[in-house]
Amino acid sequence: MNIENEQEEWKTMKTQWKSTSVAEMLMTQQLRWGLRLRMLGSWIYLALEAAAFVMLIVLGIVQAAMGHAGVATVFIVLALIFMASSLWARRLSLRGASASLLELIELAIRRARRSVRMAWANYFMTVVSIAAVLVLYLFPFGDPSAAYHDGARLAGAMVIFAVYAIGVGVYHAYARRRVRRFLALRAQFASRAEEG
Amino acid sequence: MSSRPRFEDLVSQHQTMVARICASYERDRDLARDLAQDAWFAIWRALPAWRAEASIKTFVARIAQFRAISHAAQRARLPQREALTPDLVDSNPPPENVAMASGERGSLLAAVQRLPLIYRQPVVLMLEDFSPAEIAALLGLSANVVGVRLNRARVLLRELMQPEAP
Repeated sequence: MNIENEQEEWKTMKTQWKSTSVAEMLMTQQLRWGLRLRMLGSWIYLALEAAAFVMLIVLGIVQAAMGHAGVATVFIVLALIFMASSLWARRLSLRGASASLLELIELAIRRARRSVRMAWANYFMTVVSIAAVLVLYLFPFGDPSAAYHDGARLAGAMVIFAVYAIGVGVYHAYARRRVRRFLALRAQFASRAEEG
Repeated sequence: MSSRPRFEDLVSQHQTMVARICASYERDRDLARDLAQDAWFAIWRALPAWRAEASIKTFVARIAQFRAISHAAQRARLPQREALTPDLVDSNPPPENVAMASGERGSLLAAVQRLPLIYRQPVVLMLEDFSPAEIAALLGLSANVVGVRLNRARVLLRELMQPEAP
């Protein structure tokens, strides 16, 4: 078959390919809401993280204004440690060349590795938070009638930390699985890239 | 210098292309819908990194294609079931695929879905009006390899679209 016929064949197929189908239209109309919810969720996650830092700093300032220097120090140090952990987890560069699928796979591997780091940062923050809660409970900081000296609340906080740590564990396993999956995909593509 | 397009504009301009790419890699309509959503979410997240060096259509197609391949690899538990081998053709189309194959468009889609991955990748992009050079750059292959794959894929497609003898 000559080149002209080949091109004609492609042209016919392209026309067929692009003719609209009801199934496709349905598909694209229905995905909008779910997509918007995921975008919103992504923003909410970031906003919650930022709000947590701000809240700790505000609490520290309030405690300092009330003359509870020890408690204020704990809150401010916590906020600084959390910010440092978060920055450490996010500092893996996600920019870079993404001109080809192989490079996109590399990018996906970096993203997945960043997720693993996020999990480690969250483990660390949980441990630091538990330590801070215990320090506030055990040592005579600030107001003796404050919530952080209440044993029942301490137990409640520990349950929340345990549930959170389990959640992070699940996320960690998911992130590690993604790293392995993309590494396997990269190996597949690298070995087949130049096959005819 | 081109300015970054609004995400909503991108969706309305390229939603059918993304839907077709996703449908090429996932025959189940519900899963294809989820895959398209995943692709658009990935495009939204990657949009700040877009530079005008590549056209926005290439950018969108590349991410959609990547998501779709990644999805296919995950579903097939690579390398056990759907290795990227040239001789692999899926011979068991599910019922909804048969239903979609009622028209010419459907039969082309069904044929594309049955192509081995290494042929499906360039074919989908070719059908979306990318040039062989663009496809080569996008897939990270040499132009020669793309040309060979497109030729073999065209022959395979022709065979797959032949009506079966009664």
